Amino acid sequence: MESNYPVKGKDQVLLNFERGTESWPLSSYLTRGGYSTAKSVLSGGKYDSPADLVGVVKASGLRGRGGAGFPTGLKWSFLPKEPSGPIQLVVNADESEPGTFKDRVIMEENPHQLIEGCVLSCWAIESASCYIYIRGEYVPAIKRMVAAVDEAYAAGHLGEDIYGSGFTCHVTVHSGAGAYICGEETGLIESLEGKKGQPRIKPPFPAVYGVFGYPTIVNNVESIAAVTYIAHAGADSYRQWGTEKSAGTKLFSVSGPVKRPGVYEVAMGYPFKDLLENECGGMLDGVALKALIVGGSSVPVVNAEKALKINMDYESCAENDTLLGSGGVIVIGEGTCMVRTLMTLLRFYHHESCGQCTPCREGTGWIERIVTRIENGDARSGDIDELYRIADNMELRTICTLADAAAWPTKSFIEVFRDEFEAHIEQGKCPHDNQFPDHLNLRGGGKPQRHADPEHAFIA
Amino acid sequence: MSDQVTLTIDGKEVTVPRGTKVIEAAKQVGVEIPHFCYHPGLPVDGNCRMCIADVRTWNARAEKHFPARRPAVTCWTDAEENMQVFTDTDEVKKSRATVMEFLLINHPIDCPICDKAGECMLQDHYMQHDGKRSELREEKIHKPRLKPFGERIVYNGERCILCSRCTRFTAHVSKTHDLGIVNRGDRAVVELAQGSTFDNAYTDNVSDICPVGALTKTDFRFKKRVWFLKHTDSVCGGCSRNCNTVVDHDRAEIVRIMPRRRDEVNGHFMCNEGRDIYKSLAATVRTSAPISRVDELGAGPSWDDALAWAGGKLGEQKKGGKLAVIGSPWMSNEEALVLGHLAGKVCKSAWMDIKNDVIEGYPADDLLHTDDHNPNRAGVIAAGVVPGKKDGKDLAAIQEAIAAGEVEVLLVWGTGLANHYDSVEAMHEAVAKVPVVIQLTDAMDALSEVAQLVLPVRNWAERDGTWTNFEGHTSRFRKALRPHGQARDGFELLSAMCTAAGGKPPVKTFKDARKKLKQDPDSDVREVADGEFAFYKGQSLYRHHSGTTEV
Repeated sequence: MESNYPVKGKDQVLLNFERGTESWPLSSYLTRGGYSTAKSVLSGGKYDSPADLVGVVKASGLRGRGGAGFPTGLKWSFLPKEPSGPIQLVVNADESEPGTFKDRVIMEENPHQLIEGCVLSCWAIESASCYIYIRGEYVPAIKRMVAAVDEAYAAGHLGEDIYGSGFTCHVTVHSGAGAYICGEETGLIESLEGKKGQPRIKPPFPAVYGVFGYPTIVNNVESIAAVTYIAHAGADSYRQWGTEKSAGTKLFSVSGPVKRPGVYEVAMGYPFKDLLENECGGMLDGVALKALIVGGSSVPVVNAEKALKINMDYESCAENDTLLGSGGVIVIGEGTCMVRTLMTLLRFYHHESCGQCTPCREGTGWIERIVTRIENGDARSGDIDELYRIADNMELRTICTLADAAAWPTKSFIEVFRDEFEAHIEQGKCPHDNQFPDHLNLRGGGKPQRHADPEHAFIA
Repeated sequence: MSDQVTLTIDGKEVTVPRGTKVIEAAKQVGVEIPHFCYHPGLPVDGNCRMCIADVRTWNARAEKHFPARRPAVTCWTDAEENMQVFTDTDEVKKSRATVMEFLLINHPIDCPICDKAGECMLQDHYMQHDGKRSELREEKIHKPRLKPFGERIVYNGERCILCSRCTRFTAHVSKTHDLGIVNRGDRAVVELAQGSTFDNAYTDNVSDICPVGALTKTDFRFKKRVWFLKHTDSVCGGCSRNCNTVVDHDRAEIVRIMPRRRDEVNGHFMCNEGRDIYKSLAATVRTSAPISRVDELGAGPSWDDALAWAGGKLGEQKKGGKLAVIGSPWMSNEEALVLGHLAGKVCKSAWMDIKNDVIEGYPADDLLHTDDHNPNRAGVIAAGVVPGKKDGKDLAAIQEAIAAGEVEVLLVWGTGLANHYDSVEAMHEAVAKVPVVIQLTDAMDALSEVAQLVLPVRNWAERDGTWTNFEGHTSRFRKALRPHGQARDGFELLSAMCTAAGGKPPVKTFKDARKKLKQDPDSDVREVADGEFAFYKGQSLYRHHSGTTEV
C-alpha cells in the first residue's frame, strides 16, 4: 500500500531535513518550523490543558520506541494525581543495544526536535526539569546535544518563563559512563543519581518513585522527538502512517551486508523486504540473506524465509516469533557463522550484566563460555541442550530483563540454526573458519578493538 | 483500607499488618521460604532470587486471581488482601534448583576447609532444594581468596555469592559505608572502601550475616568445626544493653559468642567487644575455694564452716550492730532479690547500695553501646538492693561510715570497690577499719587481698539468671560452663546465708524468685533468627539449636 510510505524529506516525522546538510543548528531547525509548536502550546492557544496533550499523545497510538513498545500516553497517565515532589522527565539516550543506532541520528542531526519534544512533554506531564541521559560512548552526540541545549537556552526556548508563558523547563544533558544496563530505566535512574547503575527492584515504578525519589517518566529519545510532531499535527496526522496497533513512523538502523546500511524512517508496517530492497538497496552482490535480527540484539533471530514475511510493526513481528524491539535491524548474510554471531552477542551480555541477580550474573558468563567452546570445537553432543536449558532457566527470574535479553537470542539461535551448532560439534571446529578478514574475526575471546578515532578513545 | 490483610500461603490462611512482606507472613504459618540476600534486620535488596514463589494477586473487578507477570520475590512483595501464595509447586521448586545451580557454578565448594561449613545457608539450601551434580565443564571464575578487611574479618571472593548483606549492613546499620561491591557481572567482588580500616565496633556482624563462608572472623577461623560446638543462650554483660547472645563452647572453654535475635533489646546484632568478653573471663584470677583471714576458720575453711561463721557475723547485726551491704550491678535479679532480703529483712540493715564494678569501656553510641559498662544496674535496684527507707545510707554515706569506724560487718558482692576510692591503698586503709569484711566474688581483686572471708561464686557463664537492661527488658542467661572449683551459685549461696543468719530465704526456688520479681515472661523468648527456621530443627548440626534445659 503505497500511501503508507512516509514522504521523503521535510515532511517526515523525525528525519525531516535533507540528509547530508547541516541540519543541527538552531537556525536550520527554525527554517523547518522549529519551536513553533512549543510556542503555540505554551502560550495556551493550542491545548486547553496539559491533560489535553496527554490525551492527544494517547490517541496518537505512539508506543515507546526504546524496545518494549509501551504506549507513551498511557505511561504518562501513571503519574500519581498528587505527586510526592516535582515530576521529572528523563530522556533515555543510553542507546546501547547492539545493532541500534537510531537515537544517535536524532541527537546528532536533529537535536532541537528532541529539545522541543522535551519542552512539550514536560508541559504535558507538568514537569519543570528534564534530564537527557546519553550513553558515554556517544561523544559526538553528547557534544551536539550540549551545544543545542546551550543554543536553546540562549534563544529563550528553555529556561525560566519560556516565551513569557510562565512555564519553566530546564534540560540537563548527562553523560553515562558506558554501561548497557543504564539503558534500563531504573538502572539509568540509579546512574543519574550518581550510584552504580543497577536496576531497582519494582514496584515502586519510576512514575511513583523515580530519580531522587520523585515521580519520574523515562522515555526514549525517539518517542520524545515524535511528541513534537504529534503535538504539532495531531493524533490523526500521526496515525496516517502505520497500523492500527503500531501507529506512526519508526526509525530503523540497518546494519549488515546490505548495499546502503543506515538509519531509515519508514511507516510502521512497512515490509522488511521493501526496506531491504528499496531503502537499503538490497544485499551486497553475491551475499544472500541468511537470517535477520529485527529489533536489536536482544530479540529472537529469524531465518531468511520468515524475515521476508515480516512487516516492521509489533504484531507482524510477534506473528513471526520475534519482537520489533528498538528497531536495530541486523541483517545476517550467508557465510556468517551463527555460533560465532551468538558468541559475540553473549560476550556483550556477559560483559554488561550488572551482577546483581544470581541467574544473570552467573548465567551470562556460563552460556558465553559454552558457546565459545562450541565455536572452538571443544563441545560434546549434550552441550546444545545444556545451553538451551541454562538460557531457559535465566529467563524471567531477574529484576530487569537483561537476562531475558541474553536468553532469547540464545534460545532462538539454537531453535533456528541447530544444524549449525551440531556441525560445529561433529566437525570439532568451526565450519566457517577464516571467512572474514582478520579484523572482523571475533574468535578466541579477544577484547573489542580500540577505536582509532581519538574522540572515541576511551572505549575499552 | 483496613490495617490488616488476610492471604493464603500454601492453603494456610494468615492475617498480617498491611505492608508485611510475604516471606515474613509465611513464617507465621510455618512456611519457610528459602533465601540468601533477605535478612529481617536489613533493607530488602531482592538480588538472590531464591525466594521466588507463585504469587497470585486478587483482581476484584475480574473476580479472579492473576499470577505475577514476572515471578515475584517474596522478600519484596507486600502481602495483599486475598492474595494466594504457593511455595511448593513444581515451578517454584524448579526455580529454586535453578538459582542454586547458578550460585554453585562459580562457588569453590571448599566446604572441608571452610569455617562456615555446618552453618552455611548455601549448604543447607543445596541439601534441601538442589542436590544435583554440577553441570559446569568450564573453569570456575577466580577471585581474591584471602583478603583482610581490617583486623577482624577475612574475605574470600570465590565463596561470595554477592548477596550484598554485608554492604547493606555497613550502609544502613553501622552507617560506616566500609564495604561496597565493585565490578560487574560475575567479576564482581566485595571491596573495602578506599582508606577504610574497617575497625568500627560492629564489624564482626558482617560475618554472622554472611550466608556463606565469604566473610570469616580472624578470631574464629580454623579454631573449631561448628558441629562440635555446644550452644547456650546467654546475655552479654559488656554494657547495660544486655545483648542476647549464644555462647558457643566446647567442654570447659568458650570458643565464640554470637548474637541472638531479640528485637526489643539488640535486634539481630552485637558489638565486637561483647564477642571478646569471654577472653577477659579466661584472664580473671579466681579462687576455687573459700579463703579466710580469721584465726577461728583457718586459711582454707570448708564451705560449711565458712557459711556458719559468716551467718553468725551477719546474724549478730540484728542485735543493733552496724552492717553495710554493697551489691553489684553484675548480680542477677534473683540474687539481688535474696541479697536485699538478707540485708534488709533478715539482718535489718538499711545501709545498702550498689557499687560501680566496671568503669572503663567503649564509649556509648546510637546503635547498641551504652555508657554503663555493667549489665544489671536497673534490675538490681528494682529487686531491692537500695538504701533502706528509714536511716538508709547510700554508698557515699557507707564510705563515710567506714572511714568513721562505724561499720562492723561489710558484705561486698563482686569486684571494683576500689573504683570508689582514690586508690587501692586508700580503699585498703578504709576497710582496715572494718573488723569483718566478707566478699562474695567471681574474680579476685584488691579487696580479696584483705577481706576476712572471700567466698567464690560462679560467673555469668556458669550460672542461671536474668538481667534487666537500661530500658527495662529482662533477658535470661543460662549455665554454659562447669563452675570453677568449688564456686557456688549466688542465688543458692545467699539463700543459705539467710538461713545461717537465722532467717529464712525470701523464696524457695529460682522459679519462685522469677515469679516474685514479676518478670517479663518474654525474657525466655528466643525469636526466630534468620536462617534458623525449619529444615534441620532438632539436629545438633544446626546453629542455635542448643539443648538447654528449662528450669
